[in-house]
Amino acid sequence: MADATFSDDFTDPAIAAERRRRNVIFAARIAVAAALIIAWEALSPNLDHLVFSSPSDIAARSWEWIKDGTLLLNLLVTAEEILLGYAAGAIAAILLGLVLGSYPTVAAVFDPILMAIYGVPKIAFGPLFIVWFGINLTPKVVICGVTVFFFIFLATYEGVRNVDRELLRTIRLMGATRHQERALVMIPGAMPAILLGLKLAIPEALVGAIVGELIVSNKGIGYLIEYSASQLDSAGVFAGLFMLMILAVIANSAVNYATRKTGRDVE
Amino acid sequence: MSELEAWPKTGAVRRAGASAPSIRLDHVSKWFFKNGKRFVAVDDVNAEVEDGAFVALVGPSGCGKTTIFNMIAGFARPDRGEALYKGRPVLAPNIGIGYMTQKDALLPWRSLIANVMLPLSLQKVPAREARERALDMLQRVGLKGFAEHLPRELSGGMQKRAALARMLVFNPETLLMDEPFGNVDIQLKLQLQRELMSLWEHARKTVVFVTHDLEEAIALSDRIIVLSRRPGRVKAAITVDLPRPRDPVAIRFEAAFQEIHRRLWELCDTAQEDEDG
Repeated sequence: MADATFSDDFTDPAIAAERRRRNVIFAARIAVAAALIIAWEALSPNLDHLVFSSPSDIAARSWEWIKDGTLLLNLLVTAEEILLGYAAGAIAAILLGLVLGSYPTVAAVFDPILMAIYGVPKIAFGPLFIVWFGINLTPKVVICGVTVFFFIFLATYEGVRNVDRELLRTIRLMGATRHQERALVMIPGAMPAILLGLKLAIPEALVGAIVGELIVSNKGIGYLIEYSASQLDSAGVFAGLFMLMILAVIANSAVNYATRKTGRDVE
Repeated sequence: MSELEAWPKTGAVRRAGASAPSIRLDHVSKWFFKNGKRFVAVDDVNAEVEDGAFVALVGPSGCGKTTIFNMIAGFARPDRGEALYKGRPVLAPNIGIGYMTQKDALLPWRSLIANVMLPLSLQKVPAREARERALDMLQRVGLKGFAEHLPRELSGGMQKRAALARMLVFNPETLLMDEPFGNVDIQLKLQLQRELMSLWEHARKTVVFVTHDLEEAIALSDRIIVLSRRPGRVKAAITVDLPRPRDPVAIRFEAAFQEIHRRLWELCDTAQEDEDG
């Protein structure tokens, strides 16, 4: 956006001060994280190793998994579950959100049913999905998809309902068909809300996939955590958790990047 | 443009040789339900708008102006009586009329030119011709240099002009305007009135103009329908026999204008008293 209100003039003292402040925050974050890790390492000989492990053991376990391919194999399994579940859930959610958002009567019929399902913690569906879909990829994709679905569906639905009625009336009088109303007004009007829903659903997709893996699995990061715990290998549990964190950070940055790219056109 | 002649029955002006009224409200009533209680918004309203006439609808807020407007546009159906457009009852959104309200309703994600082209492309006018006509219209409202701007990059007055251009670009026979200049400052309002008048003089369209600004109603219209406070009833219909073409600013200082203003003011005053008393 070429706008006079935005400037990156380095000579401006106010901007220089703001940059310094941001650098300080960044450095402080690194320092805090380093301090926590050092303190953890220093204290670990005096702590119950089974409960707390130690950063060096966790690093060693992670390195071992990286070297022998365990990490990559399980990471890919989890990533596949997340990607498929997220894509399926998002597509279904956006379509249903657009339809129910534009037909209030249909929405009124389905509202209590959807809210009833929404209210149930998705983990409770796990056993049912395993009975239905077996123990491999599918039940995890489905749990992930269902979790993601509600976030994106609710965002889309609200987005469509909040589209300015006056815009719809105006183009209806110009002779727009239902389909044109949707393409020209509803979808672009609801786009900021849909993008927000897509963003908020990312960590939920992770939750869905890992929950599925924790219930039953023989591959994936959730499986690594579960398996390590059953072997009383707390370093392995922590290593798995850190990998999840990294996965979450990557997924969030990807969505942030995508919303920044598209946000300009729709905002 | 042919000479305007007085129409004796209602005192309205109409074009020579014009046929049936363009818009007719025939004993129209409309009510709403709120918490299970019915309240009447419009009560037994009879009114006609002749082909090519500029008719203003004035009255206090809550007098059902917008409800009447919506029944003509086809967004609401009368609960009793009939709203007729060109002799036919309005049963669905009245496609093809020009429509403008207080909100400009420009699509915020489309450039001005794309907004103004929209009614044309919906009517399957070829893109090239649509673009030319839209550019021409933008030029007529003084926005030629801003075709590629997004609405939010423009001032409120420019957005109004763009909305005006979009309403006029497909040359609708009838214009419905619901307080189109309701939320702009007085200078801009006068300027927009002036532009509307000069555009209207070019091609006399049938206009229904809802406003609560009495001076605006007199300055622009051929006839003013005064509504009472809720439930909305027709209090009076006043003919504005001021010469055309008019300058909506200069005309305010004419004695005839002020005479009509005084009469209108008294009518609205008593419309209020009836309700208070």
